[in-house]
Amino acid sequence: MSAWQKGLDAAERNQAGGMEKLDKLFAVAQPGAVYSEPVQAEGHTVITLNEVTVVMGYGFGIGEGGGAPSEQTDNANAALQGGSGGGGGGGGFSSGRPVAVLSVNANGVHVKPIVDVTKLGIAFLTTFGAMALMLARISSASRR
Amino acid sequence: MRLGNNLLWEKISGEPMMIQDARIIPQARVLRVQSRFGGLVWNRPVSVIVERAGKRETIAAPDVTLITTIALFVSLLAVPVWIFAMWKGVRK
Repeated sequence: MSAWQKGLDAAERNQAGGMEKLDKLFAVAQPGAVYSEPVQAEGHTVITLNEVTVVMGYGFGIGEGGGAPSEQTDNANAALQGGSGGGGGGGGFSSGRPVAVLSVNANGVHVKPIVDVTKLGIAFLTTFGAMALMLARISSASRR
Repeated sequence: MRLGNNLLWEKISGEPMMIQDARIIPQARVLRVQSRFGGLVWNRPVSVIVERAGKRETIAAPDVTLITTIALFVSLLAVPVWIFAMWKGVRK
């Protein structure tokens, strides 16, 4: 078996493994992952509703090359001086964020939203920082 | 919406749960993108269906944080449009 064929087989195995991992990861796409187990306290039953995000990527590459012909070697021997190689890698990201709380008690069923103050604060500062920068640049450009 | 096995955007219902005297069916919105080199799953709750004392009601689960963040970024995009409209008004 040539080095190229070995590399190709390894790449195919890597891809099959990656697809298998991806299928397992996609089990997250069930509603059960979004809704937590019910918790009971003082006549209330509470369920947390979460947003779940999973991103995954992987890749691989293989290649081979022949040696450059020199004064000592002819073209036929140059190919024997070549080599081949391959590699692969992957990465991913996952996050969960509570969105709301479902509360069940004797008075009924209520959904109360959860506000992520930290995330909103960062978004607010980023937005107004970008606006201020934009206005400052427009203002300086109009004075020229 | 489904495009082959690669793209899925749909509302799915979970297993019903009995909590006290209420039957609760969770509903989630799923975005699933799959390719040969990876994929993405974005799963968020949208509503719960509550069946209690013979009545059935759907309670929405709004994502206030996401809505506010989108509103902030839309307002950021609106600023250049507003400035351009003012600039055109001054030129007239």
